[in-house]
Amino acid sequence: MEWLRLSLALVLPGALGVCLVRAVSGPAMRERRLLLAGYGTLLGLLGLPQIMRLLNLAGLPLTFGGTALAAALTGGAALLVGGAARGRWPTGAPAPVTQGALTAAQRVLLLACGALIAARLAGLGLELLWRPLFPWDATMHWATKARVWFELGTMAPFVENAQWLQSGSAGVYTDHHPAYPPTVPLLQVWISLALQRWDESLVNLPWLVCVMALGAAFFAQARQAGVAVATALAFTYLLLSLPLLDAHVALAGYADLILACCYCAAVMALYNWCVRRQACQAILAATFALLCTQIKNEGFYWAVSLLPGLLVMKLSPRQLLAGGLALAALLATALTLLPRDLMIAGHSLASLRLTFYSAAWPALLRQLFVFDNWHLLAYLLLGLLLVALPRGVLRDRPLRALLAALGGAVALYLVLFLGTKFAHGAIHYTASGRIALHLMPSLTFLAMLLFDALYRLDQPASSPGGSG
Amino acid sequence: MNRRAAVLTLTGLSLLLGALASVLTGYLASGAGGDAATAPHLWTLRSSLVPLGSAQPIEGATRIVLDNHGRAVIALPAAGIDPASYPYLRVAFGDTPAPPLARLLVRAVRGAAGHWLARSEDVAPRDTWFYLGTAPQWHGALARVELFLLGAPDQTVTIHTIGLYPRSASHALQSLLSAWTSAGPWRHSSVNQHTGGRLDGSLLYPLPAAALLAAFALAACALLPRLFPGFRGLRWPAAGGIVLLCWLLLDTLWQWQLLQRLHTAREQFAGSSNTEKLLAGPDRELFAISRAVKQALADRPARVLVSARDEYRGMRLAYYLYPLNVFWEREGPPLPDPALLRAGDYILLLQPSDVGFDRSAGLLHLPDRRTVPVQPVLITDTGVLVQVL
Repeated sequence: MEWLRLSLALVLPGALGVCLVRAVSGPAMRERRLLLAGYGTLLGLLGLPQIMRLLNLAGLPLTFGGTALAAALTGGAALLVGGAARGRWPTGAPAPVTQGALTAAQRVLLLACGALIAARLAGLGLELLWRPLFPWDATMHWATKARVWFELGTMAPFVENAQWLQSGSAGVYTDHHPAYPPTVPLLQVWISLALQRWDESLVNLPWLVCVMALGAAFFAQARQAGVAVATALAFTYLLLSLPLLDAHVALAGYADLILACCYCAAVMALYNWCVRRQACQAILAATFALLCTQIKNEGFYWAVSLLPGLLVMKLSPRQLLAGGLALAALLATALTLLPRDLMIAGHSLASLRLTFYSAAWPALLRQLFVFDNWHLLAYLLLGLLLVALPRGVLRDRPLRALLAALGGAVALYLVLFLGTKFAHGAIHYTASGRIALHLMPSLTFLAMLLFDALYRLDQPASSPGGSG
Repeated sequence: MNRRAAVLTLTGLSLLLGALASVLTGYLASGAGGDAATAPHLWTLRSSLVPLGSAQPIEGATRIVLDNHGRAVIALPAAGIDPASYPYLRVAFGDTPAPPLARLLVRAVRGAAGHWLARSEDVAPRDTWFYLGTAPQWHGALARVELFLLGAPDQTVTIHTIGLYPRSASHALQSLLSAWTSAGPWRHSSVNQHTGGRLDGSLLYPLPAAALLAAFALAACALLPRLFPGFRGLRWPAAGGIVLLCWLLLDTLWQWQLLQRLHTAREQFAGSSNTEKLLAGPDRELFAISRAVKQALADRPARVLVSARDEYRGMRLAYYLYPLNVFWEREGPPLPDPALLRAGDYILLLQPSDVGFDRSAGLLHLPDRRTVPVQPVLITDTGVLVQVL
């Protein structure tokens, strides 16, 4: 019976998400089923905690049945509304097919990549199932909330230590980061509600499901972008074999992996919207960008990083240059005039201790080019960019938009670890790796597109397009 | 030659040339022929060299018995040895340590000061090599080199050889293999970094080696079509194949390390219930006391403040105490201001603690000499639970 409830707990968010995505997606999409499965699962995993928050806000207790019912009603309503709306949307022509019949070598590659991915996920899944909750932050401020909310059946408030000491109230709790968004702890609450008990290992199953969904979404969006099957699957394997990404599945409990999946979903949808201007991709990009802000404080900054991509699509180069200069001036003014204690996404200017921390730079380079955190991804991306730039690959506007968005995110990352107190997290390798994780799936997507574009440039005009 | 065969040929040739170039580079960088005239410096283990634990000579080896805390130290005289001539340290076990040694640490002692040089965790392979050449303190006149063996209480390990080895290509290769295959268990830092092998005492991490191989192979891939027109137009598929294969090499090592850790997880936790896992895991002591505290408090809506000198243990204990209303402050004082404590609050002192408990007087003594009147609720070896009066 427990396994039945657990299975339902894992399937229901996906079903909810599929209903939501189906409501906005059109029929003319390549690999639609995988897109529905990948994005649907991600949306369901991230959307279900929001439903739980609403239930809590309405004064209702957190129960498995109540939440499941709310999710089912939400999914049903989405199907009804979506079905009615779809009739009014332009269907658009299906994306042109550029994939010829698979060669024997491509079939071997597909089988090999598929087997490697399956083996990796199986191993990580077993590690997750056997090992109790282990990582530091998971037990310091993520699972703490989940543990309390599950037992109480309500989202009891968590406050700062000083406030807790003063209040003396029985119903007020504290941990090391009381103000962190509740999405990740609510995922663990959901699993616990299904099990009707707290299980140190099983509460982390959403992490495995999330990364599987990322793989499906990545492959589907790669195919939407016109990348050949073999290349798409090869890069999906590259993505799912990133060591730090795998470590965050095996040692589940941190929010970083969830945020990485969410941000990548937003980025991929944004790119494909830039290419084909399908409304569903725009809705997915906006939804996942918004959900980023509900996972970790950094999510706000990653969501904002998508704006440069939008501006590249909307403005001319001259307008972009003027806008960039205006933004720089605005930033300089803001840094000078804003109150030092004004909080934005959990941080204030005073608390950031802005200055240049030179010791962080070699540490960041080591983290990318010496430690095996990302296998060869950093070298690959750098090499592709160096080759792509002089070959005019970036004349493609959607690719420029993607580069602008991710370039903005990387710039924010560098500011964080070179220019604020968080440089210590880089120097001592205590944070820079897992914050980089937020961006790596998206950078893998960029690497794939660059490779595909360069491959196409080298092909004779008569041969079928598409890499692999 | 058809296109597929041409791509495969170009990929294979490029990788072969890349591998040759990488091996040649590695050979030259490691000291080429090496210091052929320099013989290794091997120590003969005697019981007098083992100040902690015990040593017993057996045929061709030495049996080291760890003490009842699972520790042994081997102090190797190093006077007269020039560290610069011997960048490699080798510890060869007579048989595979079972269970694996938790840790093997290397320390250099100069005068009265000791300097940690390298460590290896989860030590199971027969041959452990350390590269000490880049360790800041591996220079000058040393008094001795110390090996710290950490494992299970009264564990026995057999050591066949301990020696210092000169620079050479073969020693470099053995050192690399030893470092790359000894990733050790999951650590808390594993969510922040993955070096690819041993954290220190390593000549080179796997990623730069793979990047070098890929770079040479890609260079060959770029040049070969100029020499052989049949390869024209095939650079990108071949380049993709080269990168994928180099990635696979790295990933094979990573997968091997994952399997090692999975094996450990299976041995430790597979088939156990939630409670059994926690009682078998590294936090068993903390989980046990948290259960005792919860039983003692019997669902009373109480506040529980955790005080611990060790930050990690304090944090983990606080976690296990939830869903009680727990307070634990990272980098905070041993206890909050007593004026903020209320009658009925519970305080759990996790040993070792900077807060003293005077049972006869019914007082907690804070480091700033203030006191808190309390009554004991639960006293164990791990910690003391008291209630504020």
